[in-house]
Amino acid sequence: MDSKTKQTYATRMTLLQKMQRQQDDAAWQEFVSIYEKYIYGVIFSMNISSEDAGDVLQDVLLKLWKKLPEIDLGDMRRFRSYLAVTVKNATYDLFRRESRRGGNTKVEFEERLHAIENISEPEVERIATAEWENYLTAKAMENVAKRFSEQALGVFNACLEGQDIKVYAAANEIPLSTAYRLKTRVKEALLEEIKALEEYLG
Amino acid sequence: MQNFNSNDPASFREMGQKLSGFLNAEGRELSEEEEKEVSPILHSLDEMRYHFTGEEFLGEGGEKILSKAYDTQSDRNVVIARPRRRDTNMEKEEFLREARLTCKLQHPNILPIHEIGIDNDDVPYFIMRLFEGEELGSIARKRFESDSGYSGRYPLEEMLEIFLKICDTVIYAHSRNVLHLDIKPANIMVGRYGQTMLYDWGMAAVISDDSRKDVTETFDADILNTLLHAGTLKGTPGYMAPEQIAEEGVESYATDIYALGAVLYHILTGTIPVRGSHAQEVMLNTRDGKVVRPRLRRPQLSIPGSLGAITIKALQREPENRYRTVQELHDEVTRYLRGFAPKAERANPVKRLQLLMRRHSKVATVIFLSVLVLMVVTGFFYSREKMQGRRLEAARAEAVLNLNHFQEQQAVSEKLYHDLREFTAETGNLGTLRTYRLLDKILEQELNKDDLDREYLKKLVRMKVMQELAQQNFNAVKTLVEDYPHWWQWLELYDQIATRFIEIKPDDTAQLSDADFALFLDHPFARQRYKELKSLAFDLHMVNTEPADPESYLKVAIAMLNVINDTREWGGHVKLEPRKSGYHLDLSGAPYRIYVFSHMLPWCYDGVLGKLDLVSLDLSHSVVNNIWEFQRLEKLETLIFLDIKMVGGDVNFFTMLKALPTKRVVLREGAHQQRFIDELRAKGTEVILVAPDEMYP
Repeated sequence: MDSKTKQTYATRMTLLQKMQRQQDDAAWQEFVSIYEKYIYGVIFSMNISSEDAGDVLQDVLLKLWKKLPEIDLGDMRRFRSYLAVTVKNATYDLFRRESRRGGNTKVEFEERLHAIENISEPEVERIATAEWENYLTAKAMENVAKRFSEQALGVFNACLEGQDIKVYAAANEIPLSTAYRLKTRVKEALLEEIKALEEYLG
Repeated sequence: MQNFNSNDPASFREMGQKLSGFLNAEGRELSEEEEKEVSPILHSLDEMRYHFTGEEFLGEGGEKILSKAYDTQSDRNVVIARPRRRDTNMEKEEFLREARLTCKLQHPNILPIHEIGIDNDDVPYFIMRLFEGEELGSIARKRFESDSGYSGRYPLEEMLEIFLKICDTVIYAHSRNVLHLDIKPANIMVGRYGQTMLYDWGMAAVISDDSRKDVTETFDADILNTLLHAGTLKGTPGYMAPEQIAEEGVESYATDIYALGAVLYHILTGTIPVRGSHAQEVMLNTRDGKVVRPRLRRPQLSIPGSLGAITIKALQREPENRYRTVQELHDEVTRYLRGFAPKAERANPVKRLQLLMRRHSKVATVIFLSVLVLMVVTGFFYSREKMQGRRLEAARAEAVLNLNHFQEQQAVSEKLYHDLREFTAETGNLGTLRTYRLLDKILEQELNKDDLDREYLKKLVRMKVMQELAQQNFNAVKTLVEDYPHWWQWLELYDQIATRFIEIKPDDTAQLSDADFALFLDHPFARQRYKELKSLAFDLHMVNTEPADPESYLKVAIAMLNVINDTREWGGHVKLEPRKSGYHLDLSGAPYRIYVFSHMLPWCYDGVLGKLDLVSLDLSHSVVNNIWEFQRLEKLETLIFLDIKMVGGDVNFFTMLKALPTKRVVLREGAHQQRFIDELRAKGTEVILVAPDEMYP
C-alpha cells in the first residue's frame, strides 16, 4: 500500500466521525468513494439490474446521510451489516414503488418483493461478509496491479482464468521459472495488500 | 491485457468474486514452494559456513550495518555487511538482492564482494574488500575550508579526475542495464592514492527483464529488482532527480545523469544544486527545476563558466533535455580538462580562440606574432606571401586533428546505444513524446547491424514501422516494407496504409492537414497497440503543426475521441457554431465516456477538446461519466446536460460540476435533487432548468 493510500485510510475513523458531527461535504465525498463499490456489490447480490442499481445506491446514500448521527461507528463489521440492511430496505422500497406504478408486471413485482422480504438476518450477514471480501480483494488487486509489469499481470491473469501456466508461458515466450515467480510475486503482494486493507478499513 | 482496474461497479464486483474464488482455491498462505520462488537467493544459500571473528562496528546506513572483521580462512581483514531489517524472509531477500547485483558488477571502481552467506543466527551477510578512504562529500567540503590543506591536496583537476572515474563506473553499469539511482558524494569513497569507489547499490534497478545472451553475466530483473519500496520515496534530497519525486515519474538512465550533475555541482560549490532549509523544501525546488547556477551560488569562488554550463545541462528538469548518455557528460568534462570548450557552453569564437591559445600557448604566440609580423612585412616583401601560406596550412592541419578527436569521442558515445538492445526490444512500446526520439535512434542503430536473429529483427521492424507511421513518414514505411519483402504478413497491412497516405502526402517532411490526419486516425485498426500508435501520432501532430483554426481541427478531435472510445465513424454530422467569443459544440447523443487518453501528455495541450476554443458544450442525451477533464477548458461558459444518464448518480455528477469553472449549467427540470442544484447555485453558478419536452435554447 503506498503512502498516499495509507493516508486516505488512516483518516477513516476521523472521517466518519467528522461526517457524523457536521455532515461535512468533503468527508461525505470521501466516504462515498470508499464505500460506493461495496454498496453496489450488496445491491447486485440482491439481483438488481444495473439500471436500477444507481437509484438504489442514491436511496441508500440518502438514508445513510440522514441516519449517520445515530450510527455506532465503533464496530465496522456492524456498520457494514447495517449498510447491507439499508440496501435490503431500499431495494424493497424500490420494488414497492414500481409495483404500485406498474400495470401488467404487477405479479412479477409482488414475487420479487416477497423474495426480498424473505431474506433472513443471517442471510444479510452472509451477504455483507461475502461482498466485503469481494470488495477488499478487488480493491487490493487494483492497488497491487499498479506496481507490476504487464508481463507479470499477464501471467497472473492467465492463472486466474484457469489457463495452464505452462501453456501460457510457452505461448508468450516466458521462461517457465520466470512465469511461476511472477505469478507468485503478484499473489504474495495481493495477499499482503488484502491484509493491509483489512487492517486499515477494519 | 487485463489491467485490474474497473470503474464499472458490476465488473469490479465480478473481479472481486473471481479473485476471492481463486485465492480460496489456491490457499491464502504461500506454500513452501512459493516461498522459494519469491526469495530464490535466500533459499540458495545452503550451508552455514561462517568463518569471521573479531568484529568491530564500522557504521550504519539506511539498509545495512557494516562491521570490520577478520577472515580466518583467507587471513585478512574484510568488511561484513548485514541487513538492518531482517525480520521476514522478504527483507532478507531484499538485502541479498543488493549483494547479488553488486557481485555481478565487476569494475575497478566498484567494491568487489567476496562472499554471500548466512550466519549462525540465520541472518544473511555479505563480505566486501576493506577499503579505507574518505567520502567525496567530506573532501569537497574541506576543500573550501582554507586551513584544512585540502585545496592543495585536491586541486580542481584532481576532483574532476575523480568525477570522471565515477562517470566511467556508471557508464559500465548502464551498459549492463543497471541504474544506480542513489549516486551522491556520500556514496563515493576516495582512497589515499586517488582510488575511487562508487558503492551502495541498494537502490539499483535493472532495466528490462530479458537476459542478455551476449554477455557472460546476466542480470535478471525479476530476481534483482527491489519490490519492498514500491510506492515510497527513495533517494537522497538534493541528488534525487525531479522524476524520482514526481508521482508518475519514470526512472531512467537520465536519473543517474541528473545525480552525476549534482555530484559535479557539489564538487564545484560544496553544496546541493537547489536551495532549501529542509528536505521538503529541497524536494519541491527539485521538482520545479529551480537549480541555482554554480556561479550565483558561490560568487566568491570564480567557478569556471564551462563547468557551470555542464552541470546545468546535466541538471535539466526534463530528462530528455539532459545529456543523452553518461558518456556525453564524461566527454564534456574531458573536453574541459583538455582545454576545449564544452558543447553545453555554446562558446563563441573568441572564447574558443582563448582556449586554443591556452592549450598551445607557445605555438599560439608564434602564430599570433607571425601573423602580426606578416601583416607588416607583406606590405614590403611580396615574396613572404608564400610563408603565410605555410602557416595557414599548419592551422588547417590542427583543425583536422581536432575534428578527428571529436569524431573519436562521438564514436565512444554511440557505444551505449549498443547496450540498450534488450531494453528496446522487450518493452515493445512506442514510447511517449519524451522518449520516442531516443527509441528511434536506438532502432536505427540496431537495424543496421548484421546477423540479427529473426525474432528480434521482427520486433525491431514492427516498432520501427509503427514509429514511422506515427511520425507520418509514409515513404520510410514503404522503404522498410521493400527491405523485407514478404517476410511477415502484417507488413502488408502497414504497406496498404502507407500507400493510401503517400497519395495524400508524398513528402515525409511535411505534415498531414487536419482533415487528412483525421482520416489517418479513422483508419481501421483496432488493437490496443494501434491505439497507442494513434495516441503517439496525435501527440506528435499536435506538437508539429501550428495551432489550426478550430473548425478544421474539429475533424481531428472527433476522430481522436472515436479512437479513445472505440466508437469508429461516429460524429460525421458534428459542427462548430460560432458564438460571440468562441464556439458552441453540440455533442448531444455522443457515445463518448472518456475525453482524455491515459497516454496523453497534459503539458502539450488541453485534452482533445482544448484547441476548439469552446464557450459552450452540449452533452445532452449522453452518458456522463467523467467530466473532470473539462476543467482545462477555461473559456467554457455554458454546459448543457439535458436527459443525460449519470454514472454514479447526482453525488458524483454535482461534485464534478462544482469543480468546473463553468458559469452556466443547463439541466432538465426534475431530473436532479434540489439540494444539489441549490449548492451549485450557492457557489455562484447559474443553473437553468428546462421544462420537460422543451429544448435549450
